[in-house]
Amino acid sequence: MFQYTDFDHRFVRERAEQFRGQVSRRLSGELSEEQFKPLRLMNGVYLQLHAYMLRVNIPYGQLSSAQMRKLAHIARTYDRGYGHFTTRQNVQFNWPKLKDIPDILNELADVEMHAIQSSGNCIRNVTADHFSGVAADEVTDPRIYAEIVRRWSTLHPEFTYLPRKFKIALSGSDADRAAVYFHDIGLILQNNDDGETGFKVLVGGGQGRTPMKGRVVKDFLRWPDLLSYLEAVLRVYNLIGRRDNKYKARIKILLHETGLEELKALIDREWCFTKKTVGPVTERDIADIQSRLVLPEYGPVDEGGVAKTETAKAENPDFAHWLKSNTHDHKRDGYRIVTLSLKPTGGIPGDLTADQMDQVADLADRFSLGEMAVSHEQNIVFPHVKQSALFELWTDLQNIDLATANIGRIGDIISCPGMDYCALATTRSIPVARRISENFAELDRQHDIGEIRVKISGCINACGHHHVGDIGLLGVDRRGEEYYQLSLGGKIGSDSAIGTIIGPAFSTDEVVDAVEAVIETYLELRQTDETFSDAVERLGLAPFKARLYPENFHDAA
Amino acid sequence: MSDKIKAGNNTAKVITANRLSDGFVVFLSPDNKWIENIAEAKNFSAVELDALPPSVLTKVIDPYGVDVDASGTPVGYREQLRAFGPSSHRRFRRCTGKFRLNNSTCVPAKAAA
Repeated sequence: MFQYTDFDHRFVRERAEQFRGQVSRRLSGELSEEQFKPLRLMNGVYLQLHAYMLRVNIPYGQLSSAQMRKLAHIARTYDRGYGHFTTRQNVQFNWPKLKDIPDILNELADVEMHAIQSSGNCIRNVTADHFSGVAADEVTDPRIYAEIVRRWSTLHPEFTYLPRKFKIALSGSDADRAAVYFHDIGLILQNNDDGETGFKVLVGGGQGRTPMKGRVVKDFLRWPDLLSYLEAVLRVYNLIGRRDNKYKARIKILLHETGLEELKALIDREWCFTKKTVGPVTERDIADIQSRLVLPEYGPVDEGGVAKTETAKAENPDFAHWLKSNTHDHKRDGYRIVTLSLKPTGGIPGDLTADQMDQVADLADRFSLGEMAVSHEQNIVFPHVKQSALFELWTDLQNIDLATANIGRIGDIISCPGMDYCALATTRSIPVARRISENFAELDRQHDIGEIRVKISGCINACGHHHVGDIGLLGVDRRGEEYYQLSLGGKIGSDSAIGTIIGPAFSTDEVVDAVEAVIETYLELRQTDETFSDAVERLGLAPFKARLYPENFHDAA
Repeated sequence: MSDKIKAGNNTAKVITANRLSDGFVVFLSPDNKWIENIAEAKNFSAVELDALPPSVLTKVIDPYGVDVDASGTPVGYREQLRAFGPSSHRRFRRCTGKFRLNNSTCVPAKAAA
């Protein structure tokens, strides 16, 4: 985990006290809501449907057990006993009282956390692969560069009032577990033929009402050029990005209207200046960050760890399912990456109670060297679990309902809060997620269906990433009733794609049956070992349409 | 700026807002207090928000009028969620007074019985 400098500590404390003064003036009536709103948003405080909401940054998803315990304490003391982990690797508290929020910010400062830039038209919390630092397939640890970007982007005076919010994501490999193709800037670490480390730079990806896949603006950017190049991209966007229409203000629209080659030329021209003004990232910068990245001390690996796990697996099919879906290859022998599912059957995706947070923190200390990561898929990752300890961890996770063997399966549903909480939403998402989860409760069936991502958004803003779901659901209001539009074929990764809407939307009573019908169609038509994604690519939408809208296919039949 | 709130045909209005101190959804009572229970809210046929005392308005954010039907239930699922709490978390549902929880939905007590 990274550790704050003295300056960082002092700064977040001062910022909390500054906000205390602002809250006090608001409560006394000295500040109007119009005056106060931009101030609270700069500190992550929204006004949602039922209450204020505080969004706390978890930089590139990295969380220590001490930080998780603090989140539990905040949930219990100032909120209603739970927190909600989001698709941006952040955590949201849904019921804080305004007068308490400065105290909460102070509590967060105790554990090197804050809510600065978790809202507003600025560079938001930098996100990264949730397997960063331990993934067997990564080129190098992206957290080093994520931290460089975090420092550069935090309170950057020139980029505090951008045309619109700006999101940057990093991936340590082509595997892309961070949806880098759907961020304003996506950075994919890679080595060139000379063995130098650098980035493939993508610009102009995003979801929302105008989903677009990011385009490559640099095939290979050497790592020392990272900040000067980012500065150039942001500067061009800040200067010529549209401010007349908030729906056309993201950099993806600028790219679309300007054209890729022209935008690249503008960035390169600006880069000539920023190379001089910003300068290169140096070996010394890297060394400084590495010195604050306290790497875990891996103990000796138990002999026979693999054999022990294999024996347990043979005796326990539920454990075997969990091993298959919830654990992944680690870069060190004798270790596995474990994902705790925050998607129990019929549960609320991303919710964790205060008690669960404390228990997760204890388990992270016992099994994962005190470290964890929040994934954009709303789960918690234990990055350093000994192979020999897997059965014991699984047993303990079952006791707190976090061992559902459904990661990457149909029960692992991403869902935005929807209209149950969000003031922008047009429909609810969570109840639909829960009903789909219950419909596919049987884990044997989930594993038979195999890899699939279901993603649900309660409005066109697409916080639930429905555009990139194998099955995406978008809630739409039809004359005061909740309907859900299905799309198929979305995916993240190097072959990223935006899903295609399959046809007219389904009512809330019909939507679960519609998902069931899609799955049944897949199961009937798939070839041996063919994933849902591959089947949709091979078959196209026609067989799914025929099943979902049979009245339109009478002639074909 | 005057924000005149008029009820539709055959409906009444209640005035709602979010309370400044905690953001909670509140409704205006007959004695100009902001209360959490919609069942005790004052029904209006028409009201000028500007006519309310400033001391009432400064305690809340963005007051506006909501149509309610004859049972006092707000019209539309958004306003029902605001009045009765998130349907996703049953323990936060607020069905009091003349409303009862039926499955996960708040309904007029008579209908539930």
